[in-house]
Amino acid sequence: MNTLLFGRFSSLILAVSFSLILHLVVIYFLFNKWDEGIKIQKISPPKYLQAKLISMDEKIKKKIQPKPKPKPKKNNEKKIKQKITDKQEMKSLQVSKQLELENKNKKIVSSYSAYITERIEANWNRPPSARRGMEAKLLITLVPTGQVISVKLLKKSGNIAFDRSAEQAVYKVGSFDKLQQLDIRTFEKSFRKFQLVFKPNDLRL
Amino acid sequence: MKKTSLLLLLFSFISLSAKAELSINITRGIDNPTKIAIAPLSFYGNQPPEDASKIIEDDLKRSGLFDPIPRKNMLSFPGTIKDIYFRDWKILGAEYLVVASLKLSGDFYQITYSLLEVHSSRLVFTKIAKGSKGQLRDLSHHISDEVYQAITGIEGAFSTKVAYVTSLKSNKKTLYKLMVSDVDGARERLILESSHPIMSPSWSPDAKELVYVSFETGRPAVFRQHLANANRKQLTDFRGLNGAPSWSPDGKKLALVLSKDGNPEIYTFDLRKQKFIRHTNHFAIDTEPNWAPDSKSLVFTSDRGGSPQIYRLTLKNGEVQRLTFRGTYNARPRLAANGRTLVMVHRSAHQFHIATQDLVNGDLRILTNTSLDESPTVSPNSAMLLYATKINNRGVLAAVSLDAGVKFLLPSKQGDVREPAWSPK
Repeated sequence: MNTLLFGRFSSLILAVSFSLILHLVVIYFLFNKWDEGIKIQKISPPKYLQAKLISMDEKIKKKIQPKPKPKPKKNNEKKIKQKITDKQEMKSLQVSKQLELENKNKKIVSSYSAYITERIEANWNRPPSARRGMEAKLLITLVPTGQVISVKLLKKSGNIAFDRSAEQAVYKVGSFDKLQQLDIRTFEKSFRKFQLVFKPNDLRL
Repeated sequence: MKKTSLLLLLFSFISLSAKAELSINITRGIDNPTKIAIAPLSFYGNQPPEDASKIIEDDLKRSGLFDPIPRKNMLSFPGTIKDIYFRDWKILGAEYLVVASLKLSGDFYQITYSLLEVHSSRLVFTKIAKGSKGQLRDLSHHISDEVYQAITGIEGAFSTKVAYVTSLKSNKKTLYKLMVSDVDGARERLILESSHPIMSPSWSPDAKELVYVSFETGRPAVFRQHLANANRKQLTDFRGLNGAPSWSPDGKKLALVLSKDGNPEIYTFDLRKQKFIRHTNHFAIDTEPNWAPDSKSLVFTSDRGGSPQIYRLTLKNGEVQRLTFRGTYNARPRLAANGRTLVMVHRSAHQFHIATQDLVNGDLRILTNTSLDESPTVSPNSAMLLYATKINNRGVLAAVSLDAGVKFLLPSKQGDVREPAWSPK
């Protein structure tokens, strides 16, 4: 009988066990989720955000610094051996690493900023009502080809013609072709979106 | 260890995010005339009597701030926004495009016109101008004003008029004419004709009347005349000098020069009370008064300091303050409607030029390079001025922008042209 029974249901064993497992999994997740849900509601939204951001930064660091990485590793090992858990040194090391990187980035960003400035200044035809002290701020969005895809007025100067001339200057340039030479990370970080502040200081009035 | 590095990373991220987006400063630019295309006016039915688009094109060109694209270079003639291919205009280098279509409904013209930015393919505005059949030129000037203001941020002055005096010698006799025309010289109209000199026209603030000096009674007298019905009235009949009338911007008074009490002094004449009030009392000559925009003070020329210089008179307390200190001859002051720019005749190197002085920072600028320049008059938007000068020994009118960027002579007419007066808005 048993064998018969077994034989009769043996063909279903796989399916039954599978469904059992599925059920268990569902129950497990239900309970777990329930728990986590409560916890998340209580504390975690900021925590979740932070964790995500840290991981992004780490990734960027790893990618950007293939060479200088071994050095700190060695240092760390030494320190561990010496059992000197010197937090300050760690900090200074990390800061110097970051400074180095920032300086390198700064140079690149400032040279491409200068290029953008030059292109805009050559195309900015100010209206005669423009006066010293006026200031308009635009938010520019580019795609990696350097092409302008949106121009948004963030801060009005109070003179519509002045604001329009600023927007026109960007549209007239149309595309900052040189930005194609930028590595995509720097582009994303600094030039995907950037601000242009129009503040003339060469006007007579 | 891990915790501290995590904290550090977090910290660095926060400091990064605080910086937000990259910000680039633009501190310089160019000041070239704006490239604009005015597509020919499209119309249904009969051809309009005037080429409105050409009038607009000429207006904008004359302002010196625009560089219109010649019609013969245009690749298409759109009359409405639907018909525009922005590519056609980008190729021509146009920054702005004006399209307009005219409809005749009954005895009225209706022009629907649009201003567009070519590079961004954006519409700046669409507006409608309506007028009678005889007003096509007025409608065109109105469109010029609207376009000019949208792009420059300055009110247009194309719908204003100019009064001036012409004199023509024939058979030892001189014929004087007081004329009024559009600022582009079109629609010239005779206001007064006389064999005696006519001088110093000045507009009422509503631009419907003129005051001027005529010698027709045998001595100078101030007259007031309506342009629409030619009604005129003599306002002064004193012995000696009756001259240089200037209508106050609030419309209530005239400032003028009378020498009835001995030597030329500044007076005001209350138009409602018909009463003269004397404001200066000096043995020197005080003349050529002109009002400040607030009608509370006057500028005038006086040689009380030994040479002709410009002074300001505050009417409330009679206080007189010297305004010009550079050079030995500064005269015929006119205050621009901005209240800040003083326009005058300035002598330098024995030549008379038109100059401006900024009353806030004191900057003096010589605007003209012709000689024997006289009678400057400022446009109501404080952007241009007209003056009289001599070319080949003939009196002609010339224009210059207040930043001295644009200079041109007005189409020459017969005889000598002098004493231009630019009408208010």
